[in-house]
Amino acid sequence: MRGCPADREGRRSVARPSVLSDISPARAEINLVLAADNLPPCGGAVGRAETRGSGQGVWQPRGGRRRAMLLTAIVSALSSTAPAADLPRIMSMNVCTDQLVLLLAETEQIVSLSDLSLDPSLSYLHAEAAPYPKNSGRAEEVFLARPDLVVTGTFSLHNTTSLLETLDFAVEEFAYDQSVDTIPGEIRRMGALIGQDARAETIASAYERDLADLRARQCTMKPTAIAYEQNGVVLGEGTLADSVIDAAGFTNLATELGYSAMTPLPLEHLVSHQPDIVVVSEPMTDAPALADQIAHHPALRALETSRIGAFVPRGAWACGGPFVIEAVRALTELREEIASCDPAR
Amino acid sequence: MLNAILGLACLILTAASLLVGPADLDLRSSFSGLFAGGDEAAMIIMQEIRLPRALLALTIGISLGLAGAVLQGLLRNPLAEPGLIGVTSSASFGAVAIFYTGLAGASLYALPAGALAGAALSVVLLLAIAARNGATLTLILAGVALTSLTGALTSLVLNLSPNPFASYEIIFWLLGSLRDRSMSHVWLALPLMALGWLLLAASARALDALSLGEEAASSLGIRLSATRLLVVLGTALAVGAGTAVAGAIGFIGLVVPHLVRPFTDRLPSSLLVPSALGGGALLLAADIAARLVVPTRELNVGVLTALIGAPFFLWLVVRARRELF
Amino acid sequence: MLAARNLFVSLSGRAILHDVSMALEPGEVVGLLGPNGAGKSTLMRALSGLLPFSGTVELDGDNLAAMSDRARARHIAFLPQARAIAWPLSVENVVRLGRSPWRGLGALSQKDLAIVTDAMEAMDVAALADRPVTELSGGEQARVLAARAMAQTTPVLLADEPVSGLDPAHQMTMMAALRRLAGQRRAILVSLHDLTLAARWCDRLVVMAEGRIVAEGRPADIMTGERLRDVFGITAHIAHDECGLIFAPTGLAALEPKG
Repeated sequence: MRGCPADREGRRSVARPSVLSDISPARAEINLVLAADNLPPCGGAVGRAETRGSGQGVWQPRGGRRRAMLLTAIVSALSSTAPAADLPRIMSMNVCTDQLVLLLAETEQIVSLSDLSLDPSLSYLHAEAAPYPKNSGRAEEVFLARPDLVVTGTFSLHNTTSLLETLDFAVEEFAYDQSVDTIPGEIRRMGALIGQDARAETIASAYERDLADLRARQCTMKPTAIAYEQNGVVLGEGTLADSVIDAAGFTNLATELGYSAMTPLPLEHLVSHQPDIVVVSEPMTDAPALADQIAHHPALRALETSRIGAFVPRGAWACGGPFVIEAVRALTELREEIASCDPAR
Repeated sequence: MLNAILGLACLILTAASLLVGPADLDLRSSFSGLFAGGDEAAMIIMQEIRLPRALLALTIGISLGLAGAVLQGLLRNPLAEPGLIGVTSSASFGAVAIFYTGLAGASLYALPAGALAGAALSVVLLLAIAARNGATLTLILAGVALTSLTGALTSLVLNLSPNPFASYEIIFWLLGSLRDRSMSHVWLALPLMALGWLLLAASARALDALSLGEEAASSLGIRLSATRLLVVLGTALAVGAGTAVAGAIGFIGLVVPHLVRPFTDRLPSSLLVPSALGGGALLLAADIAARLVVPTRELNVGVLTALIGAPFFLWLVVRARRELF
Repeated sequence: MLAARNLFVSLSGRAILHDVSMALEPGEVVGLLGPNGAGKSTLMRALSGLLPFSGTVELDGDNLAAMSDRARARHIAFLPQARAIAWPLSVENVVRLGRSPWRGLGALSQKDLAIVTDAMEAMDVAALADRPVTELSGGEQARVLAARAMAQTTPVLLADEPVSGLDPAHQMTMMAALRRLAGQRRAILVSLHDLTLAARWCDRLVVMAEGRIVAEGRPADIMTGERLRDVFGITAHIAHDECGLIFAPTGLAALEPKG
């Protein structure tokens, strides 16, 4: 149902591209509302990374820019007025869309980000997210802020999303299932939605170039790696981490064993298959949970031929974004260290 | 005789527990993995994963069975049990309150410290209630209230934790599990539990005398305050330390003394060793079942003990209306 | 043997015993009489060291308060009025509990077991030895518990209403057993409500009212009609035979003017 015509009461309605590839380039035509998930697609990843990216800036809470946007196929019912040249104001309700918005949008465009955007284990750009107002994914917050567009994940907050659509907010959902190859499309799609096509194209093509370079370093030596997250959950087939492991030239043991998505793997299985690399998560230091203890289990430490550590920069593969390249890079370098493409291992 | 049978059951079930697990290890590699070097993976699996699990099931079962028998003797109440009267849930809350708030960093030592404090406070509170009103029902109702309160507080603390995994751990603290425990958990809990067993066992003679009531027991030379102190400390150590590493596991201390009592002379002291061994055997069996019932997905052993224990409790309550235990 | 001087006891701010002094001598059965609430049970608890009191209680010149719990339990046995037995213990096991203060860490010795058997026989419960005590009648339970106190083999036995709930024959059995203990040079204090039983089986009576001892002496000397009226509030026909006094209560004294 894309490009719905204005309904009979003349209220604003929504244009929703339904699949990733189906992105309308008409960026200014859509009112975006962004919504937040509780958890990222891949759980927390590990390692401290230096912060960087665009989108630094201070949010001006009262820009006085209450306006309605004219959309090609949509007549806004909002009565306020604003210059047509203005870019859409965006509210993001998911830690993954938060980061795409941070990378692509102008400071003035960002109404608020999800409160998980500050969590370093989930959000690679947590430092950049700090200056902006935060939301906790409730419809009321959207209603009060009246953004032009809400962006959210497809994974949760279904009730919020449908309520917002009922209230005629423009809501764009970003898919939960990601791989290293879908990321450029997501960047371009977000760029189109928020009127930053050129910036999106620059970032996406740089990412594509880097990914191709890293992939070129693969060879027939494929050591096994496994991402062993909190509570012994492994990231199997279909996860972003799986595609990162693959792109870095490893065999993902979880996928080999037939695990897909996020599934608990008994510690005994992990021990008996002795993967070359075990990627564990760095726990939150100020808020302990038993879930983190699995990484310290003596059975893991007893594996003499396996390297265990938080090899992936923290938050780098929790969400689809250009920073995923840092995860691919870190793992590629690790692979070259333990199993050189030189025939003698 | 009874003790020999139960001891043998503990041995057999410990061995069975060592042989159950997702990794398919044959008998020979299990055995060599446990005692010698052997295949490296088999060694790690046996020594670092299955052995601590079996040891914890055995020793926590012993703690719960023994504490149940002692509490029943002290309170002269056949329904007294660490889980039912709120001791385990208080221990859970104590552990949760100290660990998840990060007061002690992420140190594992925070768990037993908090659990012991929670368990001790709850036993003192229950003794105070029992001293004011000795009726069986009063104590059970007070325990129900305490269990609900501490369960709610446990959930609250875990919900408020900024760590997204904390709220998934509510079920662990309310219905415990022995999944992926390690030898560090054994070394953390076992010395404390063993000390608790000694204190509880030291109360045996006093419990016998208490069969005749507190006045008669005093006149037989029993110092009631000392007995209460032994039981409070012993229960806090045995149940608190077990709960700290395995979460709240209920009903073992209720079911086991009732099952073994008909085979004893019914003196509280005669019940202690069989209840301890029976508790060990029951928890081992329940933990084996927790791994086997649904092959792909392991259950929390606390769920199983509650599934067995709660109907048993109901049956005891119904029967209690007809006869006096 | 047991000497109490100037005992005062108050419970939650209320005075229960006022300045009570009394003594028990080896070989005598002393009856403790008085209406409900006179302080009989409190006096017995204080004498057995179960209650805090002011004043002194001495056992052969030793201060009771300074004795260890175990030493005290080897000198004074107390048979409480309440007969609550928590578990279905066998009769023999209940009586064996009387040996607790004497027991070492191991099993009971042959001598201990012989004492247990004697106590059961004295209370006519030897035939019930293997029965669960919770299945017995109230009277049988009372005798089992008395046997437990006897098995404690203390020089002093304090029995709080040991005959309540017993049939007449077993009331006699109980009193005869207490007399036999006195014959072994022990001192017995027994509280009773049955005046005739007290007068005929006790060497000496102590009468209490409102926390004080109001009379003490041989039954024939102190159990007058006037005392029955003043202390117990009853009128009674008093007769006697060769064994002692016989009381037959006839009415409430409150209906008649006090003299």
